[in-house]
Amino acid sequence: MKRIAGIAALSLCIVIFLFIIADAKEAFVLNRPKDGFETIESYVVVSGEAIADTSVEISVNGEKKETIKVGASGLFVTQADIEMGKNVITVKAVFPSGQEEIVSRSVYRHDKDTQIKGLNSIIQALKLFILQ
Amino acid sequence: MKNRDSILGLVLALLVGTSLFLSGITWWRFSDQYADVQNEYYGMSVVDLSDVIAPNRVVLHFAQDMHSILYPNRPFYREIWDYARKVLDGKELVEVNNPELDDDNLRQKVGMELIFPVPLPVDFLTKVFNMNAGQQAIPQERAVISMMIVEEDGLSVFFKGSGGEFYALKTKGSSSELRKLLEQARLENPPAYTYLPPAKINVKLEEGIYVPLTTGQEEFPVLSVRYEKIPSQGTIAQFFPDFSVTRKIEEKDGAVVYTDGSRGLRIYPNGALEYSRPLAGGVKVGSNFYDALTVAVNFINTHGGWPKDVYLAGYRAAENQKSGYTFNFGIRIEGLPLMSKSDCLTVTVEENQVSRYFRNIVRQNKVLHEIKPISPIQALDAAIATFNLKEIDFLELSYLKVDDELIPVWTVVSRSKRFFINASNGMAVNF
Repeated sequence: MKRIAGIAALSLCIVIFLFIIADAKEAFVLNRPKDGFETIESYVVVSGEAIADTSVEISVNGEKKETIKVGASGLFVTQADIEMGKNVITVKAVFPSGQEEIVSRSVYRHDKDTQIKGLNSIIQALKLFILQ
Repeated sequence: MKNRDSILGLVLALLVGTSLFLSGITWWRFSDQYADVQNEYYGMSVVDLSDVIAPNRVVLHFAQDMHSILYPNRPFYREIWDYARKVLDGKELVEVNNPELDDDNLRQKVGMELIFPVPLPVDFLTKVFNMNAGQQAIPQERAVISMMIVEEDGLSVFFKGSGGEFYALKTKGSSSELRKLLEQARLENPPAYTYLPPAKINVKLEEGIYVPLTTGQEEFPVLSVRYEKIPSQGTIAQFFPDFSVTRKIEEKDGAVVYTDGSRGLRIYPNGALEYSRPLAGGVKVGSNFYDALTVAVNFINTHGGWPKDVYLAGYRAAENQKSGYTFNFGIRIEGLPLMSKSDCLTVTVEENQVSRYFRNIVRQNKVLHEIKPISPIQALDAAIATFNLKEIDFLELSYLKVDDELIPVWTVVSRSKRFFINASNGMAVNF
C-alpha cells in the first residue's frame, strides 16, 4: 500500500515538474522575423511576447542593438537594421527570475534590383527556349 | 471754399470705404456660416447605403510583412473604397471550402483588407454592392466582418465571415488596378505598421493587432465640442402628419414636448431629440435588414438631415423575430469612432416604420492641440496594469468626449466591457 502511495506521489511530482517545464517554454515567443525571411528593406521587424518584466536584448550578427523591457501585456516590437546578404538576428530574453532564453533567426537582405534581374533572367531563358 | 470741398470729399470717401468694409465683413461671416452648414449635412439627397457601412479602416498589405492603415479621412481611402465597390459590382459570391485558406496567409500577399464597422449579413452586402445573387444560397444569418482584395493568380476577392469562414468572388479579374492603387498609396509615404498575432502568455489577446513602427506615426488633434442646434419649427413639423393639432408642453427641466395624441417628440435643452410613435398593432409585417436600414437612413435624412461622418455602429433584431431592427449609428471624428456614454443616433424600425428615433449629435469644433498617440502596446500595458485585465477582446484608437473636449483614446474591450486609455499620456480615463 505504501509503495503504491509512493509511486502515486512520485508520478504527481513528475507531472507537476513537466507542467512547470512546459510552462517555462511558453514564457517567450519570437513571432518576427521568421527564419529564412527575405527582404529588400534595410531593416526587419523583431516582435514577440514574453512574461511581464522580461528584458529582451536584440543583436544583429553578434552586435548588440537594443534592449527592451517588456510591459504588462508581454508584447514587444522593434526594428533592427540589417546588412546586405545573410544576417543573424539573435534575441535573448532574460526573465525576472534571472533565467535566460536565446532564439536566433537568419534573414536575408537583397538588392532592390534582384527581383527584376531574376525576372529578366527567366524571360531570357523562356525566349531562348522558344527560339530553340 | 476749395478746402471745404476737399474735407467733404475726404469724409465721403471715408464713409464709402467704411460702408464697403462693413458689408464685406457681413458677407464674409455669412458665407462662412453657410459653408459650415453645407459641410455638416449632405442635404436632402438620397443617402448611399454603402457609405453608411464604409470601412472603419483599410489595412494595406505591401507584402514582406509591411502594412499601413488608412482611416476614413485619409488620402486614398475614398479611391480605395470606390475601387472595392467597383470590383464587387455584378459579381457572384460563393462559399469557399478550402481549409488552407486563412487570413494570415492572405495578409502576407500584396493586397488590402477593408474592415467593416460592424458584422453585416451576407445577403445585405450582395444587395448593397449590386452583386449577382447566384445559384449558391448562403445562409442569411452569416455575417461578414471584412473584405480582402489580394493579388493571387490575378485578383482574388474574399469576404471574411465572423465565424472564420470565407466567401469569394466566383470569377477572378486583373490585379493591375490594385497594384497601381497600392503604388500610389505607397508613394504618399503612409505610416508603416507590423502585425502582431493573437497573444497568450501574459494576457489572452483574442485578435492580432497592427502596431505602428517607430517612424512616421500619425498625429491626431484634441478638439473642442459643438452640439447640434435646437431643431427649427419646420423640422419639428416633419414628425407629425398634421402639425396644427399638436400640443406643446414645456417641462421643468427645460425640455419641450410636442404631441398629437399618439406621436411624441421631446426636445432636450442641449438640442437632442427623442421621437416615438406607437404601432397600429394587428398582424406583424416583417422587414428584412436591407429594407429596415433603408427606412432608418431615409428617416434620419428627412428628419434633421444626414450628418456627415455618420456610420452604422451596431444593430439588433427585435425580440419578436424579424419584425424589426434597432440601429445604432456612430460618428467619426478625424476618421476615428467617437465613444460616448449615450447613443448619438438610434432608430428603431418596426413593420417598415420608424417607431423610435433618438438624435444627439456631437461635432468637432476647434483644434486645441495635436498629440502623437502612444503605441497600442503601451496602451495595452497601461490598461492591463491599471485594470488587471486577463483577456482582451478588442483594441482600437478612437475619440472620447470628456467634458467639452474630444480626446484621442485607446479603447480596450475586455469581456465586453470598455476601458479607455488617454492616447497622449497612457493614463486611464475615468468614464
